[in-house]
Amino acid sequence: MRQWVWSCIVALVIFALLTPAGHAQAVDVGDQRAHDLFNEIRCPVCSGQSIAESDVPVSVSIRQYVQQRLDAGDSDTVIKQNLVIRYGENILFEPALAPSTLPLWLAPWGALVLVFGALWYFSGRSRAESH
Amino acid sequence: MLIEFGHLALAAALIASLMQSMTLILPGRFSHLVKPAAATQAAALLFAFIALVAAFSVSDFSGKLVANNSHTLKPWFYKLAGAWGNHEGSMLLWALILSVYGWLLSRDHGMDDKLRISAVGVMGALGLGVCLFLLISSNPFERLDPAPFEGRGLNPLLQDVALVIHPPILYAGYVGFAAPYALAVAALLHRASDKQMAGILLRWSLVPMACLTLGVGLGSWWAYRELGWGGWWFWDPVENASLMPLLMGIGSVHMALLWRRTGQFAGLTLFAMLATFCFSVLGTFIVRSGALTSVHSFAVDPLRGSLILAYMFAVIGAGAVVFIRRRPVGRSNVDRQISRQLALLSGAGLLGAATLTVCVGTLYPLLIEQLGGDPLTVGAPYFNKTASPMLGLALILLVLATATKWGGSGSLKDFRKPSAFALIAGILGGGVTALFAGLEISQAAIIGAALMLPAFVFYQEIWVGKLKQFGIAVAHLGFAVAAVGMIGSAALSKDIVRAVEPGDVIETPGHVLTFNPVERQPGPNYVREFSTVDVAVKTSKKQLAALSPERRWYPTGDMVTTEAAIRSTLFADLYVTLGDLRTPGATEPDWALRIRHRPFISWIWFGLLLAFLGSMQSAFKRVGRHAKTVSSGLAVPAE
Repeated sequence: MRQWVWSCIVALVIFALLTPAGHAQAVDVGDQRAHDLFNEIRCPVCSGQSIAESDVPVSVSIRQYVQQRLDAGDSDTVIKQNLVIRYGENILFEPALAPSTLPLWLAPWGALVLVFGALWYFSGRSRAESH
Repeated sequence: MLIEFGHLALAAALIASLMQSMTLILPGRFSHLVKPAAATQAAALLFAFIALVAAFSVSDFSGKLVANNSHTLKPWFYKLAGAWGNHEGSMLLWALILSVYGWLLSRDHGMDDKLRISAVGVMGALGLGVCLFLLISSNPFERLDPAPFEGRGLNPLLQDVALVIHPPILYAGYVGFAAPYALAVAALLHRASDKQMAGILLRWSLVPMACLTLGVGLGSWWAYRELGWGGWWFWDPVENASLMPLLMGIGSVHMALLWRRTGQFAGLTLFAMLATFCFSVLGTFIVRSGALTSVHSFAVDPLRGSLILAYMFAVIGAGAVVFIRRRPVGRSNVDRQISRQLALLSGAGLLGAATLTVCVGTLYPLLIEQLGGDPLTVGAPYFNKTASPMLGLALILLVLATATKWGGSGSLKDFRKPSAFALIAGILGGGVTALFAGLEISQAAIIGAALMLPAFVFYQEIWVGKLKQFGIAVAHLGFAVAAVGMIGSAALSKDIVRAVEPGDVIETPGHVLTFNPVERQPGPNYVREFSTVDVAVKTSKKQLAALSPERRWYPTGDMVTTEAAIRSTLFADLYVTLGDLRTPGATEPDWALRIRHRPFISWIWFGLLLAFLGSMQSAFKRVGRHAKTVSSGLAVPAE
């Protein structure tokens, strides 16, 4: 019976880990890989929209460019690098891990340590002491 | 004339708020003034606000704000809403809501008088700051001479019902957290750290929490329907601005519950309450200063930005100083076993950590730019890798916590029955969905797992709990239902983009869509181009609906918006937008159809609505019960 409970908990945790990975699946916009890439590239003239969703001319041409480079066999990283050279770092929604973004990527861990450290500290005595 | 009266009323509110806050400096002399001052401030701001709305309703373009934000061609409904669909007007609304909370607080005699008067004094000081800000840098009552013949219109994206009611509800939420902030400051000043204080804080933070939940939900519903991007949350700085106080607010409400039940954690709870309003002010800074440009922002003025920043530092600084000097001493303790206490504590912790993460992610680009680095974007991928897992875990904790008990006697056995129920419900639900929607096994498993969340809460709080705590049960169920929508739409969405010619037939996994020629028609203050898309079931060819995705061109401001046509059903939305892929310079349109299949997405808003209703019921039950004890003379003073 206990294993049963555990398996439920494990199932819940697994799905929690899976969910953020679930992306919209493209059926018809080129292939899945292109669509995933489109979602990571910001439309340079709209605010907050990815090129996957935007139909302004520059987005259309970046889409075409990305598709061409993919067809030519370039890797995602190379395509992104080329776009960064042309449009700057903020063309990508996800900032690359670099010295200047290190604090950003460490922040969530820092926040967890800080908050739970504070809770641990303020929740005081351990069980052994209290009994 | 009306505009001048409004202006005068704003000045009167400033004086009233000054009187109201004087009690903090000279408690003896000014304490009797607190109640009338709070009422005066609220009345004056209400009058000012009505004056502004009236000026908008008659399109009085001699008012600068009206001329810049309204237009005679606008439907009357949106004319009224134009009063708060801009920087100055929305800040006036901010001040009004703050003063109303202050007035209500001044009438709550269910606490020690000293505590109440100090808290209302703090509300006065907060109001003083906002009134000063309005008069110095954002005066909604400035005149324009000569008055223009026609106004400059309102951002067409903002012409939407959800956005008309969105700001008042959103502000009722995040401005409302000023009340628990003021109460927390007063509690620290008077060293009130007993359980009754927790009850007072709870009473004053539940309504803001409920309203903010609804406000954030409405904002996301607006973005989904109006932006035409097919998503419901974009991790846009403006969205994050309201998400931060919401997460922190939910955390502090649960900390207050913990405090009221156990008599411990007074310090952490007070800290969380103070922090929540600080995040509200930070959110106001993000949205109102124009420091971060985004689709929702419409204020660009460095003076405003620095004034809001000064206000924010004053709020944070005052809270921090009072907390550091007067925080309740002594540690609390929780047995580190399965218990309601531990669950609440960890849940609040996860929410706090997620809030901090969202905060860093939102402000980081600004910081980097200030330091002279290359501009960068911190978008959805970052938050989905950091804040989302924390929130997911918090949600699972919420679900599991419904099966825990107060006290340290819990064991894994407590989870056995609800887990079994949830598992069966999940398998059945996933199976049925798979059967109807033709899902793959892995997709059905995801839906099944997601359905376990509301099933677990349902079993524990509604079936076994027999709805003893009706509001709380509904609110928890609401969040679990919303989670199904979030998980379902993330995991099962499908997008199709297709360049189309009239007469084209597009097949999707479940439907057949026929694209008809695009027509042009004039609208009230725009020109619409739309196509009729016939939707039929793929297997039976049965006609389901005719959707009309359209593009609107607003001549005022030369702006094109996309209006999605959405067919909502309980289990999935079919979301169709019309796109124009023409290359620059081309004269002929190059139509494209975007078809988005969004399973379970409406569960998000339905769930959030449930969460709102549940929290409100719980809040008013509390207020009602409290009013009863006060009127029958049973109230016990705090000190």
